[in-house]
Amino acid sequence: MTFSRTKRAPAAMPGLGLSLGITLTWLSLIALIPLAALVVRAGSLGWQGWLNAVSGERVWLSLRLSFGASLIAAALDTAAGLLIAWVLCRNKVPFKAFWDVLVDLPFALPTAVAGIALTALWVPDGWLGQLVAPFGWRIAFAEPGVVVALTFIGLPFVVRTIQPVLQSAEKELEEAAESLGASPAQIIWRVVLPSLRPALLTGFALAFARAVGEYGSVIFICGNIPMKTEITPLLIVARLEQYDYAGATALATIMLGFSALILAALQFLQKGRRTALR
Amino acid sequence: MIRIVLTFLAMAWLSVMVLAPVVIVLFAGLSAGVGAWWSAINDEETRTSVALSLKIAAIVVPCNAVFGIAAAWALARFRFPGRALLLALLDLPLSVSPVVSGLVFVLLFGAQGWFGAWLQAHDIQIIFAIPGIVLATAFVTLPMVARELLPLLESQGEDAELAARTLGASGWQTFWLVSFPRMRGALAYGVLLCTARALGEFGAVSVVSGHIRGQTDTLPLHVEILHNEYHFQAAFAAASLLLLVGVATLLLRRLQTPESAH
Amino acid sequence: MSIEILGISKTFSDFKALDDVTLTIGDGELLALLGPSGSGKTTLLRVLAGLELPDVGSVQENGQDLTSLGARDRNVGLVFQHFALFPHLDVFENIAFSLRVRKRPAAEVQARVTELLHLVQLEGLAHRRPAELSGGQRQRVALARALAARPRVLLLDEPFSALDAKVRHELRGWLRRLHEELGTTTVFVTHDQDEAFELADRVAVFHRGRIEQIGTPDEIYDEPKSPFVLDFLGHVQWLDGLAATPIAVRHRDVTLHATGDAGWAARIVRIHRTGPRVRVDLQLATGQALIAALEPPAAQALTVGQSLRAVAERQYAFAG
Repeated sequence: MTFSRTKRAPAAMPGLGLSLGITLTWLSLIALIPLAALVVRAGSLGWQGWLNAVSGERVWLSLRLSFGASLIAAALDTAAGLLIAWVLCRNKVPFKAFWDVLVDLPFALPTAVAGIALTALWVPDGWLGQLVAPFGWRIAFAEPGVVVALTFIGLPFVVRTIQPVLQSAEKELEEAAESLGASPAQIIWRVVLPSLRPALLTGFALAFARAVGEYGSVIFICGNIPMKTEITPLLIVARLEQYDYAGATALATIMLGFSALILAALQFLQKGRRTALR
Repeated sequence: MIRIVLTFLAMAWLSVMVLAPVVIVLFAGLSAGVGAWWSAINDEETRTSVALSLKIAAIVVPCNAVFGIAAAWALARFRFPGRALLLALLDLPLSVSPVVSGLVFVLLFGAQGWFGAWLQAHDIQIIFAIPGIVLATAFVTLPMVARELLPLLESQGEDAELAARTLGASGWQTFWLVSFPRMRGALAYGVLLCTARALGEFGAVSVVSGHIRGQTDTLPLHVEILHNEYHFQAAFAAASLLLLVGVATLLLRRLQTPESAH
Repeated sequence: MSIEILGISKTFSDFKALDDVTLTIGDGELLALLGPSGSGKTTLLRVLAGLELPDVGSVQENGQDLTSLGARDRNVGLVFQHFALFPHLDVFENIAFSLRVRKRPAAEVQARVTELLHLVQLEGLAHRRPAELSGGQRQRVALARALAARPRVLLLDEPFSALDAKVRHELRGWLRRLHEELGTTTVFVTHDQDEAFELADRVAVFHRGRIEQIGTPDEIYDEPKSPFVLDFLGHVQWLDGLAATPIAVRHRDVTLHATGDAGWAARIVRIHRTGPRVRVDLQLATGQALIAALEPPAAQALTVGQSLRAVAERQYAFAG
């Protein structure tokens, strides 16, 4: 195979062979071959075997919890992320730099740390758990705990997707709307939200994708009750621990397929966003 | 008025959802005093796990840094068939569930894996041993350096390198004298991010490590073990170390890109 | 309806954007705010629009104080430098925006927008998105949108700066005719003196947050009140050492004579054609450089190296 460089004298820019060689070798060794192994392994189960491995109530309940809780969490993140991004971009906020750093914290905090911290907060006698306990709400060791953890890790994806869009051009649009007589609520509904729609969708998709695969921050707070608070990644681990490689592999292909799907959707969204700007 | 209410709501959300978990890590870690915090960290097993985490990072990060430079160079400086696919594949390790990232190595090297029998015959242990942890960590941190460098190289353009070439520099001279000095800042930050993630990775490592105390428990796994054994104060003390690493990366990012601190 | 700006000052952190500006805008007037960037002209426009609150001073209309009235309630038509069209709405809905937020009946909206589309000559493009329009078309949509709610005053921030030269010229003439047709009081900001002089009834020249001079284009051109105004209008040469204070001579005010003893002895250094005029670089016997911009016939007989007399038909000097 020969590679063509665009409109340039041959070999003006050095190092294509070496850099691409290193890239492909390491990427293949560390990521592509192992992922291919997963797909091949799943293929060797056969259609019926695969289907058997991913059916059954426990699998169904785990998928429902994983995707359902992730959807709720991503929706919460989108709402809260929009609010936070807007406030940080547009309003005078005391200690703005502090809040701005705080937004990124879920990115930087190892998931295990997030997991034990959220658990300690939301157990019935924890700082926050005791506030909601009188209403009979149980957060930790129940489904809402899963949502709390997934909401925590997804927030920066939404804020960091919306913020640059808000920062770039929207202030003038808001001023234009204001001088045309729009009220603050009308500005938000008629101008801010519609022009942010692609960024909101992207942020939602990123938060959702991250939430579906999340493991570390959830396993502490969810209590690991099979059929109730067992997310799919946890079920994969449970099957591995019982040396049920086939069952784990089959579930993993669902997760992998979902990741690939979201990546494709994001590519599509970003392409749409770029053409809309032109 | 409505602005004040919305501002307050945003601050309240961040406080409850993000700030509170941070505060409780420090609070719970220090709940029995600084002495107890220190003795939890200075505990033999904690020290071993910290050493193991650092060792893993020391192996993984240089490899991914070299990979990151090569990948960013190839993708930013050249157009070739399959480039878009390569870009997408580069992101894959970040979007795959960490559990799946660990699982793939179990399928390759585990007792029932493809190479399981061969490895056993030659008495080589990968899964439930350090090589497995290295592989899983390398997988999840694979694109982190490349993703810091790629936008930088693309925005810089290639004029400087081409100028160096017309002035008679060889390929390596061009790289070392022109390209490398200009990517040092981003490279350093990418390495820092990669290190932080390597130290903190939990899910993928948890699948391949086997949780052998004193041998294959990294710092995050050790936090889990302490927590599961109800040594809460010690678990949070160990967690506070990971928290500090995370906060440090965030603060250093601010220093690196002051213009983003609008 | 005249608008009075009384003693307005505005400071951004430590930058004084407006420094005690007082100005009356007559009913139906077309006023240009002219000045270099950072001179305060855009800030004044934003104060008029209600987007900035002045630190001191007030904006009044027929004696009624508008200063604390927000942009929303002021009913001014504002056209942004980069137009700020709503990218998610088509041309029709962009123009209809101010009527929609005022909850006007659909039939009225339809009629008014149709009227405006006709006015800005964009009838066929009602359902295009802003991204599908040329720069000149976007500018006209922005104008129609600003006019929809019949604003008391139309404000334009560098209305032509985002357009290329040809479209800019076409739109200038068109805007002038539009203003004559509608009679809406209009204030526009520009850094281009040709634009200001061609369009405006009166021009206010801004410098460091103050109004340096205000008057008709003729007054400003013929009687510049300060060195800054003279310099900003350009094509001027300062000469030191010929009089007690430095004097300024416009290139076009210099005439050249082969004989006589009027003016200064000079020698031609260079002759070259610049657009409609011929530029002649001169060196005076006393050492200073001087430039003459001549009509082509007047320059025909000249040669480089020739010695002659340079006469300033008009010169400017400013005391102190």
